[in-house]
Amino acid sequence: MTASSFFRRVGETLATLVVASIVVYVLVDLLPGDAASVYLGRDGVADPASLERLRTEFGLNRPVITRYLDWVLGVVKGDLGRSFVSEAPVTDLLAPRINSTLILLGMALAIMLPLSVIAGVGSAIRRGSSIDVAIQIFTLTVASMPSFVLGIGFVVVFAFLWPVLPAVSITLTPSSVVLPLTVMVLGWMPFPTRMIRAGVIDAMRSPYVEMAILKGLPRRRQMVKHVLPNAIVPAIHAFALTAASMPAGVVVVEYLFGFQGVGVMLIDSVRARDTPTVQSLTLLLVAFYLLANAVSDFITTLLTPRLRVR
Amino acid sequence: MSSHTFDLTLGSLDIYDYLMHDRRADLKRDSWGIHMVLDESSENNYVRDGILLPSRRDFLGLTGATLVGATLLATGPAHAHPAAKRGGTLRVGVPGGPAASDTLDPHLESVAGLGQAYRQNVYSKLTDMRPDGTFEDQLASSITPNKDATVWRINLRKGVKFHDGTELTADDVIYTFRRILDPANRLKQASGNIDMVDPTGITKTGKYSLTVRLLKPWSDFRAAVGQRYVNIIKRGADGPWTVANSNGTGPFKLQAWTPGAEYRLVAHSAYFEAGKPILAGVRMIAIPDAVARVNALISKQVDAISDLPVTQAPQVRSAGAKVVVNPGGSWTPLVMNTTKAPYTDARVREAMKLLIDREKAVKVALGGFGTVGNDLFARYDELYDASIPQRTYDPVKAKQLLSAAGQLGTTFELATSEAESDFVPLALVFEEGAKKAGVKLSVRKDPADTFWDKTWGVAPFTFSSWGYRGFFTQWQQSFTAYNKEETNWVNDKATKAARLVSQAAATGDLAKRKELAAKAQLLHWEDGGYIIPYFKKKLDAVLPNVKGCEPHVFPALSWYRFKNFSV
Repeated sequence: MTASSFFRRVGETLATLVVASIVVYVLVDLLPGDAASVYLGRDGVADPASLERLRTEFGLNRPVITRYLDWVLGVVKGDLGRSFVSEAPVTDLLAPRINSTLILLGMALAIMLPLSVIAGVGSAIRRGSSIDVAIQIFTLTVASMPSFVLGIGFVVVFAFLWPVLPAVSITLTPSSVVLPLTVMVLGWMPFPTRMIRAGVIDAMRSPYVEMAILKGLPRRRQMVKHVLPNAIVPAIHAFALTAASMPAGVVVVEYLFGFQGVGVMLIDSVRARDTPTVQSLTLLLVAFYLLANAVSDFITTLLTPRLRVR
Repeated sequence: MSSHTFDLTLGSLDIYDYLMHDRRADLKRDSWGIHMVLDESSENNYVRDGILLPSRRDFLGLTGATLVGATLLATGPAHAHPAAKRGGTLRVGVPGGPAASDTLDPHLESVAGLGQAYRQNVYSKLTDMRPDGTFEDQLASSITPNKDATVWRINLRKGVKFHDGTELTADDVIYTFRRILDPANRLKQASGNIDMVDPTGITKTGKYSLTVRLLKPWSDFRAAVGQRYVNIIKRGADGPWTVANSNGTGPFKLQAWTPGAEYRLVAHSAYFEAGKPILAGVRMIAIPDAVARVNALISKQVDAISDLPVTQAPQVRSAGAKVVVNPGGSWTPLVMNTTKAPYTDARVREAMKLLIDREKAVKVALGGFGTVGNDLFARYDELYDASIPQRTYDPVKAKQLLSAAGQLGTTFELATSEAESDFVPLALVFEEGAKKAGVKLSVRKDPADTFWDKTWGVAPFTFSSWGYRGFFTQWQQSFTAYNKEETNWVNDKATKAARLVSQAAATGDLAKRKELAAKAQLLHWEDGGYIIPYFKKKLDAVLPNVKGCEPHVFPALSWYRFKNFSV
């Protein structure tokens, strides 16, 4: 990848982020009800004058452009404003939640990546064998199950019938993340596994691998040198898409296990019409998505020689 | 047909009574005890034949816990109570709420459950609500009125220590009242509780005594100062509130706080009540999802949970935990705005009150965990008039009244929402009653998250939701303070009733007070805009080793009076 194409890619990502931030801000702003009406609740209806006063005090009456610019500049500086109720800095409230969710996501990715490569390659090179069929059936079954069904099943088995793990992840401890992690890994693994399997099978049928076989290269060398580098490219996109959708999917898992993370916080904030938190969290999810895509593009370019010369 | 088994080894169940009564369930006896087999054959597991059935998610949870029942029961009999043990930490799972809405300000509302439990245990008030809804002295040793209940003399308990070791004096109470009543502080819930107090009429009469002058006679002042936000703070205490400066006189001190997620409390060794608290500490954890809360309880990760859904009660019982059924203090009225047509006509209002089958409402919307209401509130107050005849479903009379009012052809619109779990089923029961009578009714479902801003107080016929309050407090909050627009009951009868209530509030003699309050209640029963179909029983659940959680009219977990709990 040339320096100019790298910077162009970074520039594109940043531009997308700016557009996304405008969309996020305006959409959340359009939601009926605002922090002032939720803060006053029934009293807001009772006393429109005090509602207006509070709106002015919270700065909700300023034009949307001013508020947007204030917010964006704050985000850039790492200042997301203060909670309307407790007056605590929003970043202080967000930090522990983001931390917990990132730990959960990071571990899930770290387990999912090698596991799906092993399962995908394994089932491709033994195509049609009982191992392949077993992996296919297992991943399809798991993929078609909603994560809360899977989660409740695990809770029943591992927390109640054979009580070795906690049913609810009240605090972040090694044993408390096992069940949520398992649900996440099993739920997200099938897609990249199947992509890798298809990629490997495709590559194995290609003329260059046929050539390698005819040359008499050992099986291992065929795989490492010729099959995997070609098969892995579509799989990287599958990983990126999976990783990008993970923060959104983690909501159900967090709720189910009572895990205090970003997902639960997002739901709570939407309910409380806590617009600064909703906007910041949504932007964070968008940024995560864009980052995952950009990283996957970068890796793809590195692995694919013909993309490098562009 | 699929079926589901509930374990009934732990005593009688209200849910069992009506399920058996409606022949939707059968009994089965085996080595584990008596079980109830519930028909689960319907696809639609919402409301069927007057029974609230588990939703699919609840059901999945239920199935899990029934399997578990045996495991936990094997650990020991649930009703064996060893003597209360001192020390130990109580772990409590409550719903919680958004981190940004959580605040340590003792005079502000914060997240449900978690925030109330915090205020109730770290702070004390002059009085506190007993399990039966009456008030006992807490920081006060006596609160006595003058002849017309306009000036109250408050004597404080001596030797009460704040968590910082300083002693409680009259100055602290005066400071607290002034902080609450200062409009600049915008402490609406707290100030709404004591808005009869004249801020300029609070006078110190001794180190431990003061007098409070009221703006109007108010014989129920002891209840007003025992409301949940009137927590006494140290003179000079002010925000921003942190763990370090949260200084109360309650049985527990705040040790750590994660907004919206967790509160850790430790015992206050100098607490003024002898022998209390029994526990060494309390850990209060937010678990928003009801299924997760139940799972946490039956896997013994927490010792007690609040807000147990009715549908989960059999599961919790079958797992060997105790279900605490709190008497029905809370209520869900259908509210008619008496200043908006067609509800301006008293005949229309009465017709509406006759169109709901209250027994059925209790079954459908509350799963049987409730008692029938008679359009009157403050069910457990000594002033509640039980002699007023119970209103029942009467489609014939309702139609006559509508006909007389010239509203027989009108299509009435009831606005509901999922803002509270019983709003929609209650609307369906009302709709069914109206339909049977041939009255046209359309039910409109509004979004839950904007219900309190956009529907309540705006739609002429909709719902509201109340926790338990005594007669005077409720009357004040429903008709004169900040919630009056739900019925807007301001006509001649309302004025007459309000006068009677004012007279009652100014009367020291109980018999006279009862007589006046009864007259006001009758006027309200005949003319008001509330349809009160029932009082709700609220459920909590505790592990068998938890003692001291007695049923209470104010939710939840014995009004969070953890000083009485032991593990």
